[in-house]
Amino acid sequence: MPTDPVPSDPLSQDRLPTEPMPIPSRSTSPARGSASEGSAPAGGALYRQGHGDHRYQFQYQETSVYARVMSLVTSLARPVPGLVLDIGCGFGAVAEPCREGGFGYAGFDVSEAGLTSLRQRGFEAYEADASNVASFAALIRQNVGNRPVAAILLLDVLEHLVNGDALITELSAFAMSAGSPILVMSVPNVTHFDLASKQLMGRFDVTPTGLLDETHVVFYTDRRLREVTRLAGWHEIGSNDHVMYESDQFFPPDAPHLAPGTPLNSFLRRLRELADDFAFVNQFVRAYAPASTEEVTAVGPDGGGAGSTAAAGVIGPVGGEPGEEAARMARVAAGEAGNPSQVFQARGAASPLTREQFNTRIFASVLVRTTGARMSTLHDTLLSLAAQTFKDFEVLLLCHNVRREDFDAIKELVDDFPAGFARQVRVVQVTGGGRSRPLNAGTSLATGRYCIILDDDDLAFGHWMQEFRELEQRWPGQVLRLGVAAQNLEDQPGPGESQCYHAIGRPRCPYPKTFDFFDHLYENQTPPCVLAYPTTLFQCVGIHFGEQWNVLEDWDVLLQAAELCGVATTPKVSALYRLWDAGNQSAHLHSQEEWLRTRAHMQEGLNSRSILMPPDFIQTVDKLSHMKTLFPDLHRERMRLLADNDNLKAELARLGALPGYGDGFEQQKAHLQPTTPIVPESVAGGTPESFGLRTWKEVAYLAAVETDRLKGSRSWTITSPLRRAGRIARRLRSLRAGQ
Amino acid sequence: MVLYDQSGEELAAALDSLAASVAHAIRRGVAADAVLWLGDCSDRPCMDAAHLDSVREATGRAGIATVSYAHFGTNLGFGGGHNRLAEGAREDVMLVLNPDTYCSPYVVEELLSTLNDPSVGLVDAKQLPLEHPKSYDLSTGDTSWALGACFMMPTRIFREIDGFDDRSFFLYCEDVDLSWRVKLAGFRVVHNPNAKFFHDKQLDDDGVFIPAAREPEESSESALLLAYKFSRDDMVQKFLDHFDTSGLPFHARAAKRFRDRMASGDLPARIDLDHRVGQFVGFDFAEHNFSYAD
Repeated sequence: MPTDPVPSDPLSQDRLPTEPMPIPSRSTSPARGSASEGSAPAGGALYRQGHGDHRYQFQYQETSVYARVMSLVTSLARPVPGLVLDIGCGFGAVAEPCREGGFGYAGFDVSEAGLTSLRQRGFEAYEADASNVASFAALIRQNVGNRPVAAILLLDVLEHLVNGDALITELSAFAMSAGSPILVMSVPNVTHFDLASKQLMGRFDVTPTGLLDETHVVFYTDRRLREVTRLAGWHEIGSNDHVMYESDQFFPPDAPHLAPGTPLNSFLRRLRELADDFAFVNQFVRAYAPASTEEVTAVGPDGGGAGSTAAAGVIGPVGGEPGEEAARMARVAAGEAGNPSQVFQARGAASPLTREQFNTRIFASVLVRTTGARMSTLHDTLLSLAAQTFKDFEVLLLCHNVRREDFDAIKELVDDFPAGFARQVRVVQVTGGGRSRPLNAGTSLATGRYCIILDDDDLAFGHWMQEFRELEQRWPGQVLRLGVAAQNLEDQPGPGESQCYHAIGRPRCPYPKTFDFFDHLYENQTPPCVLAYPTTLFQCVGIHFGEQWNVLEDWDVLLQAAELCGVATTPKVSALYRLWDAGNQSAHLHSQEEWLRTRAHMQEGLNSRSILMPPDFIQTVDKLSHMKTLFPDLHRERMRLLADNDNLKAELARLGALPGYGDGFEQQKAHLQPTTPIVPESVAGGTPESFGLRTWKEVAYLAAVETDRLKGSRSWTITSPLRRAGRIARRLRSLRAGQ
Repeated sequence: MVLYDQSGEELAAALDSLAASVAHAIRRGVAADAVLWLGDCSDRPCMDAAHLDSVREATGRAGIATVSYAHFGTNLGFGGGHNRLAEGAREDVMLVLNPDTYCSPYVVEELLSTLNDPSVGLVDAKQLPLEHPKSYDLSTGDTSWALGACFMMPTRIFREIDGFDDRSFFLYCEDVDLSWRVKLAGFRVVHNPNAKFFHDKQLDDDGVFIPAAREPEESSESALLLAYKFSRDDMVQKFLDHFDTSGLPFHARAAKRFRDRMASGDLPARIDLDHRVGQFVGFDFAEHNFSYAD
């Protein structure tokens, strides 16, 4: 161990600079980490002192980034014993742990101080300039000789090198010729929340060490690190990132964007944590294995990239051109569109699009979920998509937990459409998870500017996509919302053994024509088939559909999207949201308890966070305040109606006693409850949830449909004396009132 | 297929989907080949030679051996246009299809399968996204009449009943008339819910069906003519009473045109004197499952 003074605060991190830093003291909680270790140069052109600079003389501690490095080394590096080559080693903080782990150790740096320290402690140490890539590799080979190499370490080195990518490329070649040792790197995360929030306030505080070390010349994000290492010939085999909730950039600590618990901090932090999993990662600590050239460029048919568990594969496009497939697979290789279930979990892991690629994206990606259970309605949904007048979109046909034979049938169905449309469709197999899983897979794979969900029993009118496009031209970047009609369907047997369905009522428009954020906070009033979400919400901001929920999953996303993007609307009815009369709507498939539980959970989430209010929210607050004053009047009116209802019952009782009214009348009267109007039992009273429906509007809609049907039914005929009696009673009452 | 001021994109989509459906039927072995008859009722032709060549090339790949295009130079109406096209038809069956449609890949195969039953003289397809509300027998498919936007029938039966009555009907109800005459000839009229086509109809902001511009007046007059032709004086009177009192100008115009034709002796000969096939239910020509007019 070095003889240099150790940090006085044992709870502080292992790489505290030896000189006082112009920053506040670190967290006192070891669990929350502490200030960043400085990262030092290993021979960059701009800074050539190496890690041998005493300000980088950090020590190994069990809570430090070094412990995380050693965890990867001891679990993944082979053979034991084998050499660990520590490039840019500085004072060799991991030398002793390597030896304790049974490894040999050799340090490389340009700075003599650290090398001297290492030699004094009994370790190999060599002067080497990592920026001179060609000679550096030769020097390693010269000093390593034929000894087995277990691991190469680059700890806080890459960010100091303008040609770090060339160095790790050379190291990959070296590794392939030296028994495939692993590479372990730690790299500062320039997207740490502290840095991100401070940049919003116009601050970029360069410090002697830490996340913004004055000698850093290249900044890394998770995405960039993945891209650079992949291109250099490494594939990731393990990660053990170093999390610090208060980095060395956590100053001034009382700033509203940094201070925990302020609304601003809460809001910014939520946004940052949505975007990817690295908001509080101070250093990426990753292990890689060398990949052959073929491995770097080739991707298997399941699209799985490094570490893929292949829980789901990407199939398609059906009928697509070989060139298009190759291009797509190249993106898969880049980590953009691999295993869908993985991609959305590793938010932000997608390969970045260039500005030109962003600007040339197609208009929309339509996400069609199917379980393969309703081929007839899926066919119809696809037919309505094929018939769109505006065709700048792709279809992601997300086959969720579909049996192999059904999957083949779905691909055949797509193939049977005209080739022009079939080329627009990608058939994707998604396995595992709940109803949200395919949506998250779809948003990860989407190449359009907008994502639109059209389930396999909904229908689009021919101008559906055109309406979205026209809204985008006026309100780019907003959530786009069209008018929608709902229609009830009923299963029926078809010719032969086929299954058919038919509409059992005319389309109705129970949903509001305009979007009201406050109303939507209470309940979802918009079916997903008329909403287009900016794809960047999913791929950049990191919003995703909650996989823990089987119901209301779209409501949560709509609220977040509306909050961040706003909603542009047109009342033009452009899609049919179809409700199954019995049995198959998701509303019916899930229990009332699940609806209530999910709703309560979501509302709890809403209550726990800061929410951006739309520009006109003061008007809404005014209206709500005014409504409060009306409650007493409403209560009085309710009591009056209840009294009227009792009077009506009394009148009915008297009428029932008159000659000509028999037992049937009494039976009907018995159904009349004090607070229940004469409507079908299925819609009388209760809450939306009690019908398995999402909104009161749907209840009203169903009531209208049921009433239509009932008017032609026997029960309506049977109850007609009762209604007639009601009319008579009202006339009697009005006559009495007139007297 | 009868055209009237069709845009190139709309027509291309319709023909593209039709070709795919024909190709599928040929692949499945239920059809050997097909001929496409296009009749243009527009003042100016919808298609030029280059357009026609590209259509021939595309449909030819799908198995449509011949494409015939005729610019009529005058608007013959729906029935008149199809009658003119059918004059040259030598094929076993004929598919009548609107040009503002998009076919399911399976519509041709499905309609042909229904016609395998020799008792069926006419079969229509299911319209999407707005289903037609007319009812049909869920087990047999039997229905009052077949939708003219997409139906299929044996050519010999079309000839046997002298095709559409284009002298009586210019637009609307000619399909009802045809259907009922198919029934009078002893054949069944059937709906196949597995045969589907997309017909670009729309709803207004309140979810109410938006009829085509000429539909209210033309269909009102045609309803009167249909009632008269099928010997339902009670319905003629019912329609006239309604049209006379509704206050709607198009109703008044339709009633006047009917009375003018009556005065000039220009009404169709009366058939179905014993009311065997004509169905008049309210103001509809079949039982309806629901109404778009609510």
